[in-house]
Amino acid sequence: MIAHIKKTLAVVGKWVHENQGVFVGFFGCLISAEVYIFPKSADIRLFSGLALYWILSRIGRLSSIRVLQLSLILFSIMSVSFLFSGTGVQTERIAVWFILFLAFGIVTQWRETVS
Amino acid sequence: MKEHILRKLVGRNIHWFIAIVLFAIPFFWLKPGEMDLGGDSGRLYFYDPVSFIRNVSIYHQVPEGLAPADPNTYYLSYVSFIAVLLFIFRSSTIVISIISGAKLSIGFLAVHGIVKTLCNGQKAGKVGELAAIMAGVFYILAPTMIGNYDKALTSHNQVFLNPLMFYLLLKFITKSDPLYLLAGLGISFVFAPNFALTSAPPFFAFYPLAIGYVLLYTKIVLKNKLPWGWMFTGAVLYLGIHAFHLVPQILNLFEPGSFTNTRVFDRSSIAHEGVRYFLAVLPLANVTSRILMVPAISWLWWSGIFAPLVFVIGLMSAKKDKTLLLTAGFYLLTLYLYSAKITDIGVAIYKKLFYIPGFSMFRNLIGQWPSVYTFYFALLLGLSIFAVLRKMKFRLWMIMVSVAVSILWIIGASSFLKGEPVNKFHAQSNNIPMTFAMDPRYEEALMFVRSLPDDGKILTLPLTDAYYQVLSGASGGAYIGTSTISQLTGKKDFNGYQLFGTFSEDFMKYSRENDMSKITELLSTLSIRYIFHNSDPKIYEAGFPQSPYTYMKTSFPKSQTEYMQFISSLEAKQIYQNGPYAIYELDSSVRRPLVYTANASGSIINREPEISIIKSDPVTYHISASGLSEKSGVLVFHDAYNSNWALTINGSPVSRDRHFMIDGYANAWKLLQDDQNGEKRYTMVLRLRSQNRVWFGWSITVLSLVLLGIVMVRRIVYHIL
Repeated sequence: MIAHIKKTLAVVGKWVHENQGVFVGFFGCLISAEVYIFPKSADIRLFSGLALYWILSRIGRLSSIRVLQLSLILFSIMSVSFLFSGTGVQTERIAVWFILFLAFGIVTQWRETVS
Repeated sequence: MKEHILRKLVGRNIHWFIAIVLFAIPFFWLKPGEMDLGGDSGRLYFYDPVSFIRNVSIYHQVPEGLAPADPNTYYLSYVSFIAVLLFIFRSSTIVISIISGAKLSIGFLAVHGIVKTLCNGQKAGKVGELAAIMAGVFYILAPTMIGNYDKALTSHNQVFLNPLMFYLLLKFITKSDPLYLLAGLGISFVFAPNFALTSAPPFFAFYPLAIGYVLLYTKIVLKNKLPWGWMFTGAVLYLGIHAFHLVPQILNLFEPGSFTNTRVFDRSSIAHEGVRYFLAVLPLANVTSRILMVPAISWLWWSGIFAPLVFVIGLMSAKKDKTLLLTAGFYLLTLYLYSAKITDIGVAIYKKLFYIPGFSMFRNLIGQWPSVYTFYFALLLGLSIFAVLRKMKFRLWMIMVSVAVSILWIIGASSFLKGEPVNKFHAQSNNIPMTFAMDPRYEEALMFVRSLPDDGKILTLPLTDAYYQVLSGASGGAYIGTSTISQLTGKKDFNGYQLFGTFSEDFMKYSRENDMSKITELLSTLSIRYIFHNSDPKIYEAGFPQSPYTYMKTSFPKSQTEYMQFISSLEAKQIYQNGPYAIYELDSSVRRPLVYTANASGSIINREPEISIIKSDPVTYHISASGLSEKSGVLVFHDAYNSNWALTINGSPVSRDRHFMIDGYANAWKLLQDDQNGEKRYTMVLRLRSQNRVWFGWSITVLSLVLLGIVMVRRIVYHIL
């Protein structure tokens, strides 16, 4: 069973590593979907999303650049949302996602710098 | 070729040129003779600093209304500095412009210097210069920084003091040169109100983070040793230099029941005024508008995209740049403190923070954090621009973009640069400008008020909702701010709802019921002897149909004519008239003096024998009275009760257990015939003991200043030799 999980993780990790751009784009779409499908924000989804990204980035050996790219995507969505709806609920939610991933990117880069 | 153009564009002295231009801008905001005073701090020291010092900043008492014992001594050094400027330039307009100009130019130069210093570790060159200039321009023109120039609080000097003190601290620690530290201490003395308890929110919002940043930068990024010896010396000197306001204020903080004590330590007050206030303003704390720093001109919203975009690109392009990462970390921390709405957990944590003693000062997060947030925003912007530019091949192109963005910021702040912050109308007024020139007739009226006996307080009409006085200026504008009568003449003045303390609602009720006998009784209880009526309709129904009278108009006269009828119903006679300014004196039969004797219960006032009072200063009275005809009585003193008021009779102090509260707010002492000590008369001295704290604080300050001077001279000599 453990061997099977390890094998699956290795496959997923390899895919993430080889398709980093696609992975980051996919994650951006996933977050947009969360913002526009669910009417209200929930910490459980926010922190689950962050944890999922952290796990996949670890097994896929992604650098801080990728998470910063993701935050760039989120910032772009936030700006477009601001253009159409001002500081509406969706814009605010995407802004929180942007800040969380920016913070995640800074922490990751700091760890890379120190190590 | 490109390097040549670069050198031309970003010359060595361009930041000085920009600083001079910025300094000159506020000189175009006010017309000669005009001032933009008013608001919660009043800023009357720009008009008459000497009177302000005499009446407000020396004594441990607020010269207004019930006159509570509360120290305002922190004003002294700053107002003395203003007095020197006024002595040199002879014009309040020029001095106001100088201070506004300093905010812009020194704020710009300090941020420029910080970014340059932070980049210098990486051989900044011309690219660093450009990044530093952009950061400086952004800082002083950011939408969050240009909004509070009108009715500026004294702590508004933080616009330039925050970056300046940060710069000096950074230079001191990174270069281990104590001259920067000593210069910072000297500046902090001059601008003491920014380092006093009254400015606690902006102070504690900025300095702990600033010190933390500099220490982390030195230890983690530069890996330098910290100059612990000088840091300790600096801390001791700092406390010594500021002892003149810290000693009275800190002791006041730990005095049960004082305003500051309640605000800081009382748990129910924290729940009511802290968390609830925070939750009320939370909906206004949008994360998006903080990230984008949307300019006032709505169509320019997209210019806000530039900075956060550069942050992310800068972080991506500058790998292993610890300075940038550290700054980004502080940026995110201040963004959280400024918006709070980063996840539900973030809001919950923020609410818990209010149970830390003193944190309730940050309940208005949208008012307390903007300047700190903008500061780290500007630093991050400068460092990000530097990180991006130094990686790019086509630097000239990037410079053109940077200049274009700067122009957008300038356009976004164009109304500010044109002087809109001060040249606007009072809110809810009939287009009454905020700027005004003092009416010479009012100046004469103030002279007359100064000549009035000290025994008796003043009621200023029309009454306002808070503690403001409204005055029409000679040039058509108006002043709305703290009492000019209290602060410029030293006479205790009641001009608004808040100054009546627990009597406010009663006063309103009696007025609604038109019960003039109750009103007379109330005025007597408050020892009000004079009524100052400014009958100018422009300061009431004609100019200000609503604020600052909205609440008071529900009970008091709604026009100046009605106010005249109101006064004529009181037993008062006119003793002064100059234009719209009239002063009435209440009949001696219906008023109570500031100090009097009464029967043991305090209910019957002894009209005979008369007592004489000599006011040595606002906290010392010499009283002389004939002996008591009965076995016991009370001496009543109609200033706010405070256990620090002490009475001495014929040289012997009266024990504290004979001191009690009377009339719901005032001081009274039980008198015994034995107190006469065989003498025919009582010779009494009434003194506020807490004034000793002010003198004690000042002695430490003087000593510390001498020490600072000696250390500074020694360091300068050491540098020269």
